[in-house]
Amino acid sequence: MKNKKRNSGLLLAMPAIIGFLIFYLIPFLITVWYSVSFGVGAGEFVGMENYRMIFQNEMFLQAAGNTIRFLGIGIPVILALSFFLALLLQMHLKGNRFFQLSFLYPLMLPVASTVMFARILFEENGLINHWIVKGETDWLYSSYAFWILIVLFLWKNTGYHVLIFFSGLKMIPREYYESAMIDGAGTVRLFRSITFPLMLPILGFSFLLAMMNSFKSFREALLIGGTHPHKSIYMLQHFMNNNFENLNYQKISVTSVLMFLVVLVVLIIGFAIRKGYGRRNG
Amino acid sequence: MKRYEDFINGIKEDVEVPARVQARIDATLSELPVVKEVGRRKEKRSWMSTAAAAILIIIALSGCAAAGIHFSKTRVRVVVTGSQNTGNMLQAEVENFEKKYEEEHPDIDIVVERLLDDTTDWVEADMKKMRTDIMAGKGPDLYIMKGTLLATSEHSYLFPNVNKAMQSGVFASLDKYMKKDERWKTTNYMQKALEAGTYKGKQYVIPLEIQFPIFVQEKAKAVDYSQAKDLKECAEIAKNSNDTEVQDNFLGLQFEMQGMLLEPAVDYEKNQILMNKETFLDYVIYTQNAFYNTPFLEQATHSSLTRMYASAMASVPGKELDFQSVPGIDGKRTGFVTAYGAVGMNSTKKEVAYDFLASFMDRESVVYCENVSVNRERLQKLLQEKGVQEEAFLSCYDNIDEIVFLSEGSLLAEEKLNQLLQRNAPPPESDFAEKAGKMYDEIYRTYETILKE
Repeated sequence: MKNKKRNSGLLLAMPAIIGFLIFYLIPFLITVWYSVSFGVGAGEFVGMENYRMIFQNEMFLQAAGNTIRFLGIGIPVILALSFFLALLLQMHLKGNRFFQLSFLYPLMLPVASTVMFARILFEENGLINHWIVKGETDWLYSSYAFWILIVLFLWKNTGYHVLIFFSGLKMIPREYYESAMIDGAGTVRLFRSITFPLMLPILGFSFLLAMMNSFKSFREALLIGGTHPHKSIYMLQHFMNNNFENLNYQKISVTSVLMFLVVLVVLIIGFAIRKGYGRRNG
Repeated sequence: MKRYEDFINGIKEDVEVPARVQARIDATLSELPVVKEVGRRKEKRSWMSTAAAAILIIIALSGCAAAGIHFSKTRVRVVVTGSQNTGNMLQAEVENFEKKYEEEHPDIDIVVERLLDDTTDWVEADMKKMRTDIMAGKGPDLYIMKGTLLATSEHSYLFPNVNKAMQSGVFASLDKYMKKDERWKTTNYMQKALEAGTYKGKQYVIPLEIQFPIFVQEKAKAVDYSQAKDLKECAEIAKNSNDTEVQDNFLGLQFEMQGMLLEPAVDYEKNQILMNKETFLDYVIYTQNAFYNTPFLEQATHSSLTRMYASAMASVPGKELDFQSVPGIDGKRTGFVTAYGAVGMNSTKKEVAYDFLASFMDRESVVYCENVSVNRERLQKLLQEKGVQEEAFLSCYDNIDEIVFLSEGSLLAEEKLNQLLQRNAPPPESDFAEKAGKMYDEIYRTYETILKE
């Protein structure tokens, strides 16, 4: 009976599994093949030569460094900020309803208009230079461009994560808090022993989404600085996009495989931490 | 069953029966179960033999295809770029030539596909699709393309950087076909142009047409630039002439050659940037002070004869013209490729594709007036037809030091220099040198990124 149930489950999942194999796994395996070959189409096998070359490529190292820096700053900040705002929303402050809605507005705006607004503010003849700094710094073509990109990422995506966290917080039963408070638990203790552990799966989910959204920030970077922006916002997607234009599929494939491996390692570490934390807290 | 059939046939042969009776006998016999079975088996056998024959034909055909044997013509897929609005002379030429070539080679079928190069979204999508096809090994056999052109923001390019595409292994090396081809020994092709299509000593791309800057003046009023070592010295000659028309002519030329003011910018073979900040700043600061800090602008008529390109040779009919080649800011006389051809790395008909390309290069007509053929004899013939002073023009042609492929870096340089060196701008501000320096740095960084990517 149990076996039959398992089989029917497999049968039901089969369309999705077949779709995954055809549209993801096979193309990925082809990409792996391209990453160890040279030339377009069939190509010739060159072993790890492409990988060796990519680690000597200055622009790849620059792009990888910038992407890691962007993820390293953007993701923790957005998660912390969103969590904090969600906690504030939960406190039933005045005007909560308005804020809940207003968090969604940035998501509705097209990227192009967001970037246009950034241009109006930060360009050489922009409002910041005109009103505040009284200079002619091209903020978008300087090392400040990285921080402008971080701000745009936070502004656009924070609301989304706030709503996810807010829904998660709503799902924690009130009784847990009441019971703990009767036992004398303070605010910090309540957060540490109830809110945070119960929100951990949602944090993990949000982490994944934030990572995906941060990769999407390439659109903003591309609109701000074009295909060859200031080196501070030259991301892996710039590297891949420009190599796609020049039909260097080997570099794109190697970069894709490496990105996959890095994301995989990060996810494994994330799951291990979650599992370890769960085990420690019973 | 066989014996029964023989028996019936024996009766038919031995006994003479009237046709009506025979028909009734046949009808009665056909109703017998044993005869029905014979019919069914015969039918089954014929169906099976038909299927077997079909399978054999399919196997034979696929075997032939795998072995490269075709019963039909050899089909060569050629992709040509062209814009929708202005039409495309290059495509028209390829299509005209295609008919002639097919007549001479009845076993070859040339299929010309047009790839629009406007910057609309769907054209960009087509370009992306073509790039994906190429990378999947399904690209065309032959590319006949426009090179990157100046002042052409309305174009997008399948290969925005031909040098990088050569490095990526998109094109096949043509050396072994060229060695066998007698045309290269008997025809006077511009060697400098051919060098632009080489990478690591191998010929991957064949430039078809080029453009280069040229001073075009009315012979009677011509100023002599022949002693000028670089563009700054040309500017000095124009300035010292105190002739508004000459100065206007010079600025007209500078305006049109902005995108290649810094060319040759990069050496892809040596992975080196060739631009020099000092020379660049020296030139732009001098010209700004020379021409814009004077009342010249108010007097200028902007009726410049000079054009960047050789098209000027046909633009002033009836006047005797003087042509002088233009050195760059580094003293080199540089031109750029405007059309080129290359054979796809994945083509299975490389030799035929190459032959079509080489024949196209060697064709009779060169209809472009704004582009110059890399085939010297053809160019000479065209100049004679147009009544242009061929000696003076060919001397500029022969004086060219280097031919390059322009890239996205050149287009950025053109855009930025256009902002910096505006013809009708007010006199330069005090921070002009600083602005020019910043602009140079931005262009430099872009070239650096292109080179290192």
